[in-house]
Order: sequence, then structure tokens, then C-alpha cells
Amino acid sequence: MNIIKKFKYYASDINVMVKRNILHAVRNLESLLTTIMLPPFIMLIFVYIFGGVIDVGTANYIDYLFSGIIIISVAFSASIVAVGVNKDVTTGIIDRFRTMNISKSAIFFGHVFASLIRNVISILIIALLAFLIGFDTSATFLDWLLITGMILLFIFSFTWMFVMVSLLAKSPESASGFSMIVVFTSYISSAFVPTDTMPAALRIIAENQPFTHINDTLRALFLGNQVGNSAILAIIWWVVIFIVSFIVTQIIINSRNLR
Amino acid sequence: MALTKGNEAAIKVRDLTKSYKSLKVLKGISFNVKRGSIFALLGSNGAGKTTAINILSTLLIPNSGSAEIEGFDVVKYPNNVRSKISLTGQYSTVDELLTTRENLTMIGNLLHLSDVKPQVIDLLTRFDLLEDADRPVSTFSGGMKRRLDIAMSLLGNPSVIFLDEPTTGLDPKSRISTWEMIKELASVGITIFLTTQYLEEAEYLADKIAILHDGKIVIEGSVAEIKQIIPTVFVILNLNNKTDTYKALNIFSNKNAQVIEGTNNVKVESNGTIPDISDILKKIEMNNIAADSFEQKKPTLESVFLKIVNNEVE
Ligand SMILES: Nc1ncnc2c1ncn2[C@@H]1O[C@H](COP(=O)(O)OP(=O)(O)OP(=O)(O)O)[C@@H](O)[C@H]1O
Ligand SMILES: [Mg+2]
Repeated sequence: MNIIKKFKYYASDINVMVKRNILHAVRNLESLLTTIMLPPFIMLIFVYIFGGVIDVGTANYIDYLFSGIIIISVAFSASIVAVGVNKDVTTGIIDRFRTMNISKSAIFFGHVFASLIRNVISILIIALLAFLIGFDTSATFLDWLLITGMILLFIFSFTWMFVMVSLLAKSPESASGFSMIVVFTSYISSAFVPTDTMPAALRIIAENQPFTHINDTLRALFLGNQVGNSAILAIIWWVVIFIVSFIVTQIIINSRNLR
Repeated sequence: MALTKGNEAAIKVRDLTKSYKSLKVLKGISFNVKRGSIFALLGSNGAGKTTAINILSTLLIPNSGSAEIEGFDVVKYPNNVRSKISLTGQYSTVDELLTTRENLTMIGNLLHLSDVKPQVIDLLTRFDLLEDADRPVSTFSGGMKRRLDIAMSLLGNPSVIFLDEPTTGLDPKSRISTWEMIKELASVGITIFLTTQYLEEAEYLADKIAILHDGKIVIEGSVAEIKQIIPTVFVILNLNNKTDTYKALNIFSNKNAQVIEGTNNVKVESNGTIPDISDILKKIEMNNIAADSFEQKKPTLESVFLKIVNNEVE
């Protein structure tokens, strides 16, 4: 009984915080629109400007690029989370929450779920546009389920990683600076071009980082190729990233010494 | 962990210390705050007021000593303490992107109140925020933000409220309305712990004042007790010549009369009451001192500390 009540309270707290973040997003329409519109633009630029010269082995560059654009889109939208979380903890509102008898992780679940909603909307826009410019997929219904699950896992734990980093950042500027670094890290992957064209050092990084694993998984599913190890590697990476981020976040927010 | 009722202390603090690395901010402070009273912790910039409030409101752990809120130790039972208190921090603890109503509703929902809507409307009315209920807080003046901040602290019927410098940065009008609000809260039995840099604010609001200086409480007592020890005002006598200056120094030696450097003017301590000031003026007339005018000055906190420290040395 007590556990059920606790869980109900927790769910309701998360709900309150999600609503709060949605209101924030709506009142910050400019930054919402830029993060949502940027990835489709990047997609068009790559397809129509670079697409002619990039040889990736598929009939259409968009078929190859699509999964990468999803990754980039998620990476871009993280800057909203970074700034939002950092604002929470560098202004007084966090002190009010911390002196209330509530579970502090609800505050961050609020940011994460709001980010999920934002990302799903922007991925739907990208998908619609991609189909319009000739994206072709051989994914079956089961593949689509897998794709959806993998994307949600990726957004979820990627955003948690950002929550952790933004908690550690001293200012919103440094938090959003870090998000730029991550966006660039996502470029050093198989997102836009095959990794075997890269110099050796970069290639080793590119082939063994979590962005590449999730991207390879999604791409294989879209193209109807063999998924191989990448799916299991992607799941391990992103689940571990979530667990570490969640625990570190909990430690930081509940600590009464780290100020 | 016994439940305390009646007139006992709502806040008990014993030998609390806190350092940031090598900086010793609190060097052992102790005091009690009676249930339903207003307690003012007075101190200048950097005295450690916020540090003390942060420890009492479960944001910080002290290095040593103990603090209890309504019988619960702040270190051992933070969640029990949290369900008794609320904090209005020094820097606004409201969500600037939300409206007044949204802010109040959010806190009400986080407290799992069964009747959030009517409580929010009641607070909006009481705090004169109904007209601006649906405007984002970022468009508010400092005074309105403070009002909302305090209104948010009232949700969930806390028994102890912490207010960290509630009137700093407010214009005189908002300051007075904030004072009235605080008095009203105490009148319904809420215990109020506030910090301030202004002696007059502490005097006006508090049942009990403690002055924090150099990590210690240098003086603690009721307003009446404090007034006996520290001058509430200085009366400055603007004089024309050295003879009068000399006379005034003699007559008012019991009031710590001092020459203001570079002038003939004399500074005299007073408790600020009309009988005391008229006594000073009468003595001037009786002794044929030709004073052009006189003015009253509030003592600065620094001069109060000096006075207290000097008294202790004597
Ligand atoms: N997290 C911290 N790390 C290091 N030093 C700190 C920290 N917080 C406060 N201090 C220092 O401790 C001292 C007391 O700070 P505190 O904020 O408690 O003072 P205060 O009385 O509230 O001052 P103010 O009137 O300016 O708000 C100051 O010298 C301040 O610089
Ligand atoms: Mg302070």
C-alpha cells in the first residue's frame, strides 16, 4: 500500500515537472523552433550539396544519411536540456525543490520526458521530409518496432547524460558549450560517411563510440541489412550511460556538502 | 524525536559550526526560536546568514553542533524537517518562465494537496496577485516576485518559514507591505526565521533578534533588551564654535558624545524616543549652546558591532 502510494506520488511529481518543461519550451518558442528546424535543413544540405560527391554505396544518399540525421537531431536538441537544467540549479528554484519532501529525480525526469516529446516531434518532421525527397526503406513492421525502441532508448539516456553534465557545469554558457562538443563528437562517427574513408586515428574512435553503434543499428534496420553486433553494443553502451548518469545525478542533487 | 507541543522552541540550535574549506563562517552559534514567534538573524554582507539558513533548511550539513526543527534533527531526519518548513531564498525561488498561477499550482501539486485550486485562488487574493495571475513572472517587479515567493512558501501549511533577506532590493512601499505580510503570518502561529542586514527591519518585525558577527552571535535578545545595549539613533548637533563643542561633550558624556572629525559638530547616542530626544534639546537650551540644527542618523551595523565589541572589552 505504502509503496503504491509512493509510486503514485512519484508519477504525479514527474507529471508536474513534465508539464513545467513543456510550458518552458512553449515560452521559449525561438530556441524550440531552431532546434527542431535545424536537422531538416542539415539533411537537405547534405543531400543536395554534398550528396552528389559522397559515394556511400546506396542508390540514394538519403537512404544512407537518414539514421545519421536522427542522431544529429537528438544531439542538437540536447542544448535545450543543458541550458534548462543548468538554469534550474544556478537559480534559486532548485533550493525550493530541495527543501521540499519530494523525490529530486522527478525534476530531471521532467526535463528528460519533455526532451523525448520534442525529439519525437522533430524526428517525425525529418521522416516526413525524407520520404518526400525519396527516402526508401525495406524495414518490416518488426524492424519499425525495433527502430522506435532503439531511438527512444537513445534519446532517453542521451538526455540523462546531458542532465548530469549540466548539473556539473558552472554556468548555462559552459553547459551549452559542452553540448557543442558532443554535437561534434557525433560527427566523428558513421553518421554521414563510412568510417573506412577516415584517417586511422579518427577511424578507431569513430568505429568504437556509442553514436556509431546506435547509428549502424538504425541504418541496418532501415536498409534491411544484417544488424550484427552493433545492436547489442548500442544497447549496452546506452543503458550503461543512463545508469551512470542517473546515479551521479542523484548523488549530486541529494548531497548537502557539494556547494 | 519526541513531538513538541505548546510553547516550546520550534527551532533549537546548539554550537553550530560551518567552514568552506579553510574559511570559518560559523564558529559555534546557539539559539532557540519560540513557536509562533519572529526571529531575526541580523548580520552584514558575508556574515554567514545564508549559510545558517541553508543548514536549518536541510540544504547544507554543518561541520559540528546540532539543529532541530520541531523536534527533528536537520542532519538525521531531513525529510521530516522538509515537511515542516518552507524556504524563500535570498535569490528568488520562483520559476520565472511560469505565470503566478502556474507557479503556485506547481508547488501545490508537488505537495500533493487535495484542494490545490481553491488554495491557489485564496493565496492570489490574499497576496493581491489576482490581477497578474496569468502573466509570466519574468515581467514582474522585485516586490511582486517577493510576494509570490512568500505566497509559494505558504502552500502546504508549513509550521516554520525561512525568509532570507525578504526585503533586500525592494522599494520602501513594497518593503512595508512585505513587513505587514510577515507580521500576519506570525499572527496565525507560523514560526518565522528571517535574516536581514537592517537593524530597523529586525526591530520592527522580530520578537527576538540575534546579531551574527565574525561567525558568532555577539548579542541576542528581545527588541527591548537589544535597545538597551545598542544606540538606536545618533543625534548630530550642528554647532558653530569650539566652546559649544566642548560644552556639549561635557554635558553628554554619559551618552558617549563624540566630535565629528573636521567639524565642530557633536554626535550623541540616543534611544530614539521622544522623551530622550527632547531631553537632549532641553539641555542644549539650558546650557546656552548655540546649535543651528540637529539631525538623526541611524547607526550602521558596523558601528553597532564596534559598540558591542568595545563594551565586552571594558
Ligand atoms: N559555497 C561556498 N564556498 C565557499 N565560500 C562560501 C560559499 N558560500 C558562502 N561562502 C562564503 O561564506 C561567507 C558567508 O556567506 P553567506 O552567504 O552565508 O553570507 P550572508 O550573511 O548570507 O551574506 P549576504 O548578506 O551577502 O547574503 C562569505 O564570505 C562567502 O563568501
Ligand atoms: Mg545571504
